[in-house]
Amino acid sequence: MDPLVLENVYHTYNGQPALSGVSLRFHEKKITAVVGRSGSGKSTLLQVLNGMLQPAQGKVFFQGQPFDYSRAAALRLQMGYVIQGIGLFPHLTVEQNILIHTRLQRRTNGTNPVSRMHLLMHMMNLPEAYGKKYPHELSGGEQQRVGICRALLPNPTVLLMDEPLGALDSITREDIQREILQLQQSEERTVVLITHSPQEALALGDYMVVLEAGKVLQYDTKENVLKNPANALVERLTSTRPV
Amino acid sequence: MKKLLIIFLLLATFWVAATAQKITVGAKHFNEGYILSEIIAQLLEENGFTVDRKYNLGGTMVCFKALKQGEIDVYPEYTGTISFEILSSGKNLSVEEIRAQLQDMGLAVAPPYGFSNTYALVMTEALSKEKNIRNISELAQHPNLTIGLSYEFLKRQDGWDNLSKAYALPQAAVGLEHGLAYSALTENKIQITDAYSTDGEIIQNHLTVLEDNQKFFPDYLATSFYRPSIGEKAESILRKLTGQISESEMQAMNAAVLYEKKSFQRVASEFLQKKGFVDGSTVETSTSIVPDLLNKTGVHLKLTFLALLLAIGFAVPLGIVLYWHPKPARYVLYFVGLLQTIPSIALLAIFIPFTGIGQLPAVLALFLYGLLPILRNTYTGLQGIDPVLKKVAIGMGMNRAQRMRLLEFPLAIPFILSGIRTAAVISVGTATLAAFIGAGGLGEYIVTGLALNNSSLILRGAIPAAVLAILIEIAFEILERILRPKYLR
Repeated sequence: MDPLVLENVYHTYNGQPALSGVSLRFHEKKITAVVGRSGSGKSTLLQVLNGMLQPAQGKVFFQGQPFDYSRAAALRLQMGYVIQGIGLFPHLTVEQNILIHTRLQRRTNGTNPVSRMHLLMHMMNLPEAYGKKYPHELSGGEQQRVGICRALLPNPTVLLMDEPLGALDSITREDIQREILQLQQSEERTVVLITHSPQEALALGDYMVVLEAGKVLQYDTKENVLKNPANALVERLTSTRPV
Repeated sequence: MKKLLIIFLLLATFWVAATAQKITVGAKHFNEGYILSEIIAQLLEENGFTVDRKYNLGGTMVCFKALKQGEIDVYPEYTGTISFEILSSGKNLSVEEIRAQLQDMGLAVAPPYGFSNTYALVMTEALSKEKNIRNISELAQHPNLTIGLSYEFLKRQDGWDNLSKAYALPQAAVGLEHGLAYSALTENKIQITDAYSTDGEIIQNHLTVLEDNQKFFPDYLATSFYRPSIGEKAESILRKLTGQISESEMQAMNAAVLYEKKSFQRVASEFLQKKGFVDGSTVETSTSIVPDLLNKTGVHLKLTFLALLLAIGFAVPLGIVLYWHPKPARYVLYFVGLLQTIPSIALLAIFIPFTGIGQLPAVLALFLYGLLPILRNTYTGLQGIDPVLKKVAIGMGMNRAQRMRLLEFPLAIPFILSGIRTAAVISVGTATLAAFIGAGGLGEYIVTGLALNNSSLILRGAIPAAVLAILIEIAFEILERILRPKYLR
């Protein structure tokens, strides 16, 4: 069962149409990269997926059920959420940040959150000693690694990422991309990755959605998108060569 | 059941009996007021009553409201003041007329003490003897005398214009600042000026009060203004003072406090001994400074911290609610800001009709003053939190209460603390004014010192109050350092 489905979704943002008739079925346990220019509706799409925006028209399904906005907070607990600004809580240590989920809900599955934290930190190449540090003592790349660990602690069925590596230098970005792929290999999950970078979409994505002016131009495996772009704009938007 | 009722009735009787023995004496906030109140208080104590002194009660209206509410049982007042200010009768009433009108309010006045504290014309004793002038009529025969009058007296209805007409006085009067009039008299720059008839200055400067032989000045006869509920026995004790205090005796007592720097307690007890109302063995209870100062500091801190705790308990949750529902925030902050602009004395007085005098209205007023800084800092502290953090918190599935508890409130703590610190300092300062409504504290020294023109007494209150404010600043600075989140260190 595909955990995230959009059916004919329309939404306007500040009077501008942000999504116009978007229907998407995100494949289970695959990474789908959503690419498009600024203002193409990428971020709106992500906020619709986790219920922060209720679309003006159309349907959103989460795990086969229509999204219940009265339980939005509880549903979001099952979705990891990572954004460019990272948003580590400055008054909490790295450990407290990663373990924040344990203070939001009683855990139902048996895994020990502390050992899961150590596992995630290990896979994201974060030394265990960093646990006692505060966010401002870390570099930008380290902070985003912590942000990813925090989002993955409860082992969510889906992970939503909005330009997670946008503000990082290219070397750090590639390191974290490798770590994300390793994680995806060991714990397969449905990931929606918003990015403006074709390089990142190609490096991480199994599937690609190309968005322009709130409409889906193409949705296919990345290989097919590269091989048979639907039109010239898709070709440009997915090209890694400097134009 | 019956037994319970009997016990209850017995207890009630005891309670009534116990409270009936206790009489609260108030005082108007000026020299003569203190002395007269202390005379009443000591006289009642001498006759077996327990007396609770609530001095420093500000002006006529504060005293009158306190009496009407039963916060105090008796205080000295003047017939003219009762006629014009309390009964608003537009003319000076006789004691009998006053008594009749007060009956409806359940209040009463005793027969006057004897002296009238009204305007008077004065001149030096030497000149009065030399020219043989004893009353105002005789001034008419001395057209060359220079008359220098206070500006207020020049303008008043019972002032110079009508006085000179009534007595057909030929002199023209010049205006001068009242504070300069006495030295002008002794240096013979002027020969006549106006004064209150019981001013201590009259004795100090060897002046003679000219008799108002045509009864031009309205009587301001001093008397005990009281609640008849004090009982027959206490009333009869108040009546003992009838006709016992002459103008010159009152002048002498005022001068003793103002110029000889005697305490008003001592002046009062000396008067009562002289009149034979108390035997000479009564030892003056001189309270030593240090325990008294500690006691007043304790009251001061109690007022401050009670008000502060209330303000925190109210303003912090309100700030959170406004953060959640920001639409009315502007109006609420505006309203609370408006409270801040009410002069402290007025704010203190506002509560008297509802709460009476004492610590309760003081705590309420200080509470209102503390609201704004705490509320504003709570609100702006929460508003100022990085929107990225809020977005992440929502995105990860925190509900509103969790966001407040785990993220927003902890991040706003430094702001809230600095608001509390501001409120605490304001509160310590303003608490000195609470003495005006009988709340006690360090302000009692200041208020009494102001009334007695005694600057060392003023400093005895002002210095510890300033020290307290500084200590609170330091304490909060330490607290802020301890509570400051590690990420800000």
